[in-house]
Amino acid sequence: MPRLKGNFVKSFEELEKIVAKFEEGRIDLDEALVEFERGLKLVEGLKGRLKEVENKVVVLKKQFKSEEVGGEVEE
Amino acid sequence: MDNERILSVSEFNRLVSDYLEQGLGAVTVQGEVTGFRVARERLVYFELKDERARCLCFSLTHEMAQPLEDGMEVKVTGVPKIFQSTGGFHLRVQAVELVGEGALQKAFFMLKNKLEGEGLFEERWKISLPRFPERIGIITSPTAAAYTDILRRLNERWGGLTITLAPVAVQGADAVGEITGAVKYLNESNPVDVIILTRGGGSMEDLQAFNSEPVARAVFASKIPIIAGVGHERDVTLVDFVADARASTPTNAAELVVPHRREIIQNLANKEATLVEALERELHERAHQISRMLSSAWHAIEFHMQEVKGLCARFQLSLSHIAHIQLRFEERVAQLSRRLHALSPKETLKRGYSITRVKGAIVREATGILEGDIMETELAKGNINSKVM
Repeated sequence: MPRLKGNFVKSFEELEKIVAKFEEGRIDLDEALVEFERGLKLVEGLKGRLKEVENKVVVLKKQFKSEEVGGEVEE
Repeated sequence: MDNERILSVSEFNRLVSDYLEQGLGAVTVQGEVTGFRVARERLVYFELKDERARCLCFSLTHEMAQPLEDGMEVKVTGVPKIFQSTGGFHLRVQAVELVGEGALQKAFFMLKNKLEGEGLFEERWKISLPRFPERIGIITSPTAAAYTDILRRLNERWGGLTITLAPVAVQGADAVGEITGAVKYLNESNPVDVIILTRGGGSMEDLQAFNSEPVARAVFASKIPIIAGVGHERDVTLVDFVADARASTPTNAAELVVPHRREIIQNLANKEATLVEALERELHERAHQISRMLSSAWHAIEFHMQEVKGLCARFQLSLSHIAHIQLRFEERVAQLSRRLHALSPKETLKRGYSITRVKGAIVREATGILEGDIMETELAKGNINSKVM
């Protein structure tokens, strides 16, 4: 399966645009065939990406603190 | 202590202050706030009291996580010190925790009105959540049930994520500093697509950090969208108002962050079907168009065929006309030819005329004919040569 890393959103949005064009009938046949193939390819790629089930967990080792409280300020 | 040693006042105050700070260290004192005031816009003074005693507390405005008011019951954590200049004994505040629902409620509404007045809750500041985030930051306690709940829900729904946990205390004295620090760190040093700030349910006291001004401001200032998933459905904290989205529970936060893969698979199937149907429709339409075009072309051809047939018929007519003209022309030519023939000299000779030539030239008069010239006479049949005498 082709794997889409990093551009799931981009592919999904491209596919949405193609589908919208088809729905509105804003295509001529030559263009339609090219876009149709592109659309199916995107669907396949996105489906492949959805087969990924693992999530990676990174635990930051850093100790978080805001600025120190208790400076030497007096009246 | 060395009795011989004479101290300056400054030295004495410093010595006592250090002695108290190092000897006792940080302490937490509970009491009721009284005489709360802010001097020079940044120095905060108030007293803690119980039935029999009072103690001065000192802090700075930017360190105050909670708004305070006289009459509130609080736990103040700090170190005992004395002011260098006046020798006044006080507790240098490190953290203030409100005690009891009443104080917390009061502080909550005071701060809520303040932040709302500044416009921090307005919709126009909300950053929209990414549709398909790939890097998710979670700010919570690693031991909290909320954390494992969120991880489980994320794993159920979506894959290929990089989830970064910024471990913080979600209650207690360190919570405010750690949460604000983590928000800042994820914004500046470890960019993610979206942040979930979460903890499980608890009393208003437990949720105090999420009602604190520094945390509310840090969430507001975040350039990365933040989803607040604090407590249960009924728990409302200030963070909920300033966050870009509010989840009713920690698991709900996970649901808001990523779609379920099932929905997207269905969505993709629908899109695929739409493409196929639209293309089929388009092809049918074209086929229909073509057959319409063919039939109209055929009609046009038939029409022209009729025209051509008409032309052919007219052409044939013309041909016979031409043949007729030719015939007449030929007759005329024969007639003329006959007439020409009658006028020919040979025909004249037959009628008894002759032609006389001298040296090949026809003789039309006697002048110029010399004696001894040979005259050649052509008759209808034969020639006679004679000599002039």
